[in-house]
Amino acid sequence: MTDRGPSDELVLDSAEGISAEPITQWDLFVTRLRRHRLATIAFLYMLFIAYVAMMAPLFTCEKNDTFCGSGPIEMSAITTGLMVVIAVGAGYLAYRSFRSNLRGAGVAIAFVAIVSALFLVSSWGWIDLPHINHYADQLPGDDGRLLIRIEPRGSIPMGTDDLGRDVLARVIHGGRASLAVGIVVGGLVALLGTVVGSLAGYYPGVVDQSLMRFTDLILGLPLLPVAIVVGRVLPELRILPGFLKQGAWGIAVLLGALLWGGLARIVRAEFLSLREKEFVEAARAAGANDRRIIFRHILPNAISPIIVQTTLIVGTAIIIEAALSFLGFGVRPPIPTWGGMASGGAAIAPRGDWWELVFSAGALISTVLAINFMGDGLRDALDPTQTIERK
Amino acid sequence: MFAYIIRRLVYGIVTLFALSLVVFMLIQFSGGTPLDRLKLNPRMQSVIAQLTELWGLDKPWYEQYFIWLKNFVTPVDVPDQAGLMVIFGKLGIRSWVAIAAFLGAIGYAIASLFVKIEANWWRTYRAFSIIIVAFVAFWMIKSRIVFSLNWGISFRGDGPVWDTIFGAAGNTFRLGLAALGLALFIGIPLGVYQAIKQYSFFDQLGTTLSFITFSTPIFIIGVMLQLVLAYQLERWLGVKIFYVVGMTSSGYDQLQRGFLGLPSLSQLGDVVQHLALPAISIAAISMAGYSRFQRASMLEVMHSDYLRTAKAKGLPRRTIIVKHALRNAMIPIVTLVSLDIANMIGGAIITESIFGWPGVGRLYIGAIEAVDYPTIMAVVLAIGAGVVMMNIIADILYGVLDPRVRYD
Repeated sequence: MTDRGPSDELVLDSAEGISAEPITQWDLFVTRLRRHRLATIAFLYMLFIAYVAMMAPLFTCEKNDTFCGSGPIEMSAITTGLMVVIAVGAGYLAYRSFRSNLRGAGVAIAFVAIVSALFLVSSWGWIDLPHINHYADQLPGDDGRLLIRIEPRGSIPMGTDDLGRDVLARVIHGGRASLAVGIVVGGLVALLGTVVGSLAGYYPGVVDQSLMRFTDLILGLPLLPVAIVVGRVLPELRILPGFLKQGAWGIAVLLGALLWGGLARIVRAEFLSLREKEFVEAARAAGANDRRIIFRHILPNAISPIIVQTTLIVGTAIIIEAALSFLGFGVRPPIPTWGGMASGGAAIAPRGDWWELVFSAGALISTVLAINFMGDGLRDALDPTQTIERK
Repeated sequence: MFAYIIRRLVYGIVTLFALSLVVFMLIQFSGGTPLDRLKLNPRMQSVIAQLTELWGLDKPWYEQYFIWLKNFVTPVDVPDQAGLMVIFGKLGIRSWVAIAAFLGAIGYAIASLFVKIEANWWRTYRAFSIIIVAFVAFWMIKSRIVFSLNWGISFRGDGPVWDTIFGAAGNTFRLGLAALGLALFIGIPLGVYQAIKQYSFFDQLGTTLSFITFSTPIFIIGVMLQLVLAYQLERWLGVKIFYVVGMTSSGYDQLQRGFLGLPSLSQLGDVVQHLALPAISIAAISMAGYSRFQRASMLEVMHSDYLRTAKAKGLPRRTIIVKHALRNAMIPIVTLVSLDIANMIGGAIITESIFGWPGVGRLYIGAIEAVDYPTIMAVVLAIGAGVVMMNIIADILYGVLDPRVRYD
């Protein structure tokens, strides 16, 4: 930890001197987050997973793919390298602006938004490709036999499954479903929960009562049984547009619509207490309208529980999606998902073919673990009552 | 308080109503009618006309919904030959014991209105009497003694939905109670011990392990248990210790019979061998949650002023922990447990389908695969009712145990 940066100036004793630059809320946040070693590692790990999932077609080649056939290694290496440069550069810019001032937070959020959008756009492609079959490179093997259930070895680091598909390629592609569910559910939950919670908390009476009764209704639904029924009938529903029927998108929208209740309650409680604070009263006395009070005064103060709760919900959503895929009601089999692969791996594991189960389950658990650690770190970092002391 | 419970019950019924409507619409809009799927099943040819009449399958979906709703809440007449006396004549000794306990429990309830008894055995009996009443009530509903509702006939040819569900529910109760017991009797002492030995190696290990378990999907826990404790252990020892499928072995009835209709020791062993793995896999996540929660709550209590007082006046450490700290630290756990049972139901659905346990969850998965909508609707509503009841019980217990909470 040689490069602690100027943000460590904030631990200067204010009686001794004046720190060189103003310390913002974001500086405090970043300093605290960096101190939480596990959360930092988890954050980097999630970036890695997101990057790999986003660029999955570049890392894995399909047999008979013209793109792969015409010099796959050079092409994907160049593109991948370019992407790495762009990602690292953008990340560094975001990091610097993170540390300098509050305006940097906007840049950072924009960066995250761009990455998410890129990810969404790049995932869009595989909806139209229901039959991705990532066969191992050497199909069939040197002795002319099919490469079915091959143990992990040099060129096939994670082995092949029952149908001779490369497990590594499928693990990489499988991350897309989980991350798509995570991002969409996180966005939907943050949006719905914040809107419903803040309206209910700011406008007492009829609005509050009706919104909270609706929230109670959503919270009262048994999550998994409903999710299973929806997952089962989703591909057959006549009233839905096509892109929601296949892949993880329908599941993600469903889970987003079912999981926002808890956040809405939390946001409402925050609004109820903040609404009565003196600074809100002062703003009202100065003639601020409701919109300004909500967006400029109350919401920024209620942002911490929203971020933390959303992070934790993302973990829950990924687990539920995997469980649905495991049971066969989530993303349908030809499309690789970690839950579906665990199901396939569990079928062949009793015979001693452990790899498909272990690698898909490992990817799933490590991702959820990283998200939960991030939630933990964010909770600590966003808590302004916590004191920072030099270690 | 009474008004609060009534209000919560009304909300609960509205929730269940919405739930049934949503699920019904989903099934109806999913392409084709239930009748199309039914025609594929040759066994069902003879009953198609009957079912069409019963469910109004040729009518628009909203009319079908109201027909379903009307049927769902309509009691069926108990057939004459299944009258009370005939059923009592066929009872085994176990049922008579249960009925005696049931009558005793009711007797207790009446007696407690007039007499206030503070003895410890009496309190224990009160807790047991609630459980006994619940069990006997379940058994009476299951065997259609009191009443039964017209929940229809399964489209898969499983017979009346009422019988299927209550048969499966008994199996799920067995699994659920075992899992709950495991989670409570391991998770809570673990949390207490971690709190007492804060920052020790054991504490750190426990915290890490419970964090990892908490982030692990239940199906991975179940599958891993099967692999390691069943297949791998059998390979090493050469003896089958845990079974991975079913509730009992196929030769269960040939094992030595027990006394008075109760299972014998070898039969009990067989049951435990089958029960262990699914119960552990349901319990694991709850166990992690309980121990983390219990640790936090215990630490909070142990830093409170009254505990310092207890220490200062020289009470033995054991008394401080068991009598002063633990009692208060258990209060939040009660709420957590009743809320967690809803999660356990979800976990049971997945676990039952992994371990081939013939409970409600597996029934549900099978019914969903076949889009057998009378069964789906009944199971969803049964599970939904369980979740709603547990939420209400959690809120009530919260108020009962913490006098600062008020209902308005």
